[in-house]
Amino acid sequence: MDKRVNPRSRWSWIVFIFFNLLGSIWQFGCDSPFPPATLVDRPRLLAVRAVPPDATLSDTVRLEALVAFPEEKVPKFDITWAVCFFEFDNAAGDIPCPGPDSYELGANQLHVELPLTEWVQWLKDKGIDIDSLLKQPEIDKLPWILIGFKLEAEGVSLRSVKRIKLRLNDESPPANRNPIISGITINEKSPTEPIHTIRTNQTHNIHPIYAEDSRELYQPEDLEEPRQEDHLFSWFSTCGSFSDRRTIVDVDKEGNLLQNNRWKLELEPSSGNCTLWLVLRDGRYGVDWKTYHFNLESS
Amino acid sequence: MSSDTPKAFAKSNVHAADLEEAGKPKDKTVPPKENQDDRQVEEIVVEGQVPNREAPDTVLQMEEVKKIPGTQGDILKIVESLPGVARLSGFGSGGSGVVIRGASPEDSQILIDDHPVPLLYHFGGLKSILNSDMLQQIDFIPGGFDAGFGKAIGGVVNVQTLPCSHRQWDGYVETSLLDAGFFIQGPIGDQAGFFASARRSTIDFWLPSIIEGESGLDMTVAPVYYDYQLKLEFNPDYRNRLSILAFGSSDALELLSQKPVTGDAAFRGEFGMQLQFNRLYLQWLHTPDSGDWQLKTSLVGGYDRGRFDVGKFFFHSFVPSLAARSDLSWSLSEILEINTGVNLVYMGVDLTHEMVRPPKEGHIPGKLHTMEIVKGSESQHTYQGGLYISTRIIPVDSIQILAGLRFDGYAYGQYGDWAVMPRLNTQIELRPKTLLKAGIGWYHQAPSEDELLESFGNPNLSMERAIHYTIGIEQKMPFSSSLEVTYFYKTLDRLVVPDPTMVYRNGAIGRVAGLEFLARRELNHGFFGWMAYTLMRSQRKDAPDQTWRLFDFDQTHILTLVAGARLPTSERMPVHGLHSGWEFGLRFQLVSGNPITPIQGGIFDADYDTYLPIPGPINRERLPTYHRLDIRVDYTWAFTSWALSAFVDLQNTYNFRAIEGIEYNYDYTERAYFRGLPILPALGLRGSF
Repeated sequence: MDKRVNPRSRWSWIVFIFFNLLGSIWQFGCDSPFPPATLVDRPRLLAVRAVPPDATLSDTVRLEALVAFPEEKVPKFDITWAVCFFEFDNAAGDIPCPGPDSYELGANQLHVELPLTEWVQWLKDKGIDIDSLLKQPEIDKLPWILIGFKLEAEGVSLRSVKRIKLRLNDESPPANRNPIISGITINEKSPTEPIHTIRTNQTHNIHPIYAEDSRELYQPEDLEEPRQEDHLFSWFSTCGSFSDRRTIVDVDKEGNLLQNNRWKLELEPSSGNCTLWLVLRDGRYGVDWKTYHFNLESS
Repeated sequence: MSSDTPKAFAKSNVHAADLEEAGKPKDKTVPPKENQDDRQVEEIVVEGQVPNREAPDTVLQMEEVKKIPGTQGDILKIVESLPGVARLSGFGSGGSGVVIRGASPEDSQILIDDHPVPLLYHFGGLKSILNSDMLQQIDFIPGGFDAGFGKAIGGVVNVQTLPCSHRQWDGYVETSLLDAGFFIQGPIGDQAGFFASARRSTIDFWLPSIIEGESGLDMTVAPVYYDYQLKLEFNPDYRNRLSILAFGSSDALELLSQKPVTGDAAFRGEFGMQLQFNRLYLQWLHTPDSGDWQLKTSLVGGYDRGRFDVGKFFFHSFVPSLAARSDLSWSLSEILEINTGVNLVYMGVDLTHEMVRPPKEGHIPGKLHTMEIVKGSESQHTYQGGLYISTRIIPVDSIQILAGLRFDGYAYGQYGDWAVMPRLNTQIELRPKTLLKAGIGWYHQAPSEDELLESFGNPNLSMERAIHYTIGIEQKMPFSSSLEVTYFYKTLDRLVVPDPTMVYRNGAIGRVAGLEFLARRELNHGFFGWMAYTLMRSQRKDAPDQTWRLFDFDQTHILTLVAGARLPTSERMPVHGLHSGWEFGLRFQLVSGNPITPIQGGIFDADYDTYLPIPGPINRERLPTYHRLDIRVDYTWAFTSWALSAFVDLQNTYNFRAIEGIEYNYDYTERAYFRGLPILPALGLRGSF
């Protein structure tokens, strides 16, 4: 849509934001000229995980990328990981990370180790005072660093950014932990084989299962009371479509579980393979994922 | 069209009949125009009366324009058919504003009886907050306006309400899929009259079932709007007119989205909006026996209340206001007239918010989760003041000069700014019925309210500035028609733009140049119409080290054709003034597409499962050309004491699906045109008495 705004009026600009958001909601129910975002029909970066998601400057963080290749044959690719310290207000996608001022990690792998002590030393060698950066008086919450990821292959270029919160000292709030997906049930049955069989010409009810103790209580900076993390599931597959692109751990007013989803395989071929990826985010930069492979079978 | 240089005669909004009833000598008035078609609104020339504040470039009589097809009589939709006015998206502008001669919507003043209102449309463009039948005329001044108007660097649209009838009763009740309402007007004794109007939405009776069925949303409060208008007018004698005008509007909508709308769980839950404002005008117009001066004074009080809730984010405001305005027109001699006036405004601002800042012209907003959430509360008093004087000098019959000086200032807490603005317009009669018009003027306006908020923006900003230059020629033609050609040029500076350290700064400049052509026939012998064409270029430069770019609404070519015809089949009925017969209306628009900033791809934000767009050069591309034809046919059966009208209003007659924008897929690697509405027929019935 043509998004214009008239901010002179006291209300018109906020009416504008409101109705644009409503437009986003409305799109859920409207036909889109594009394939659904849940369909993996070309190489896609689906998630990036940091272990641990919160770190101190003495930690070594393991970074992992979930890249989905719909074809069985994985192309040759070049991967660059980088660390940046970037102001992230109203950011568009032209973020220079990796970029000329970033700290690059030399591993052409989907996972890499980041010893933060080495990054701090690199900053010091460049004359950057990390202590003053981290202890600016206006920073009243945990600062974070940005991880840049770039994958390039023939005809493919994938770029991503991810945040890691820095814990300054022991007085910082408790460290976040990544959430944990325990599994899924499809039509109330748990897939048990490495490669499962699933029937086409049907819509399947999927229920994600997570480790409940991985849904942590934490103290938001702007609230007096602690609250529980928002666990948000993102759904992807190489076949069919989902009722919802994302679902959330909650219950609606009728008591239905809002993390459940419906996987529509009505129009799929009667044979072949299909992969499903389920990504769980905790709203505090913690991530987990699971991958399931299926053989399609006509019902 | 040209700069608003003086007209050779004055206009009065007083009915001839009312003047007679009020005891004004008949020889002071000139009879209504021959073959005047309008039954309610008669524009009368009163000899010997001094002019009102500067005459506008274009006066649209509501009887003339409210049956223009496709507009439904809405104010801004009609103004968009005038030269120099860009077409906004078919989905509205967010609630108010028109793009006049390449200026931002917020740079032009939209006034109702000389005072601004916070909102013009219900739900950002659904329907006007004013019943068109309570309006008398729209004064449209696209630039070079005189010292009587301030606080705008673009143009002025002044909507004037109808004087109350002292002679006859009139009214109707109507309903549609959007709303239901009534209008009634009539006399109160011999010296007073009134009109009253109210509407309430009906959309809330059927929309929730569609919304919930389509999107799974729970509409806890369906979209409900209402508005009301009431005017009482008292003419104790022909010298004085006292009136009270009350109007207000309310919009409310609440949705519950239990599923996440974006990759940020904060954007789910209650989505609510409540907007409400009320205004009370006290107006006094005094013209002495001598007729050589006129005083117009108004006092306006009211309040605005706004509530927005978007998930956990909100913006709540309450703004009471009080404004006073007084304008004096004084004819000192045959060659010298003076217009002077003062206006004062007080506003209390009381708000709490936890919300992102709005995107600005020419800037591509980031995703909401990357934008700074500004949390705070503010309680502040603001004062605005304006003072002007202008003189109209007629040294010889063929030359008029209007020279003015205006002072505008504002104070926001301990901050504020002021400016003095000289303005000069001239009009030379080159030969009978041929006028040469030229003008130059300085214009300032305060930054927008959100930019000045201490907790939200930068209260230390200065006023934005523009200089208008216009020159044009007008040729009166036979059959109430005329031709006008105007060249205009504007420079803009101190425009407010976002700044990474100061939030906002006065750093951008702009330039606008254009040529307008207008051929118009006023309503006469049952026919009216105009053809307006504008050739224009509007550019901005956000910082000295940046290059010139196109303005968001730069439209190179704007062509509008409007025509209306009445074919009566009976005599006018004396009780209600209507006659049986056909009415035909046509409107055609051909407009260059708006500039757009292409998105060149996206970066995956792994923490929010979304892509951040990579914008290309600002406004480097342009949407395809827009064109549309609207047709309307009315038929009226006029009976002795009442009349029934039926109409068909066919919008977008040949079903051209205009391209209103571009939408992208989830990662910005594919794009498609976002198309506007298809052919839209509307049928209606109205009973009048």
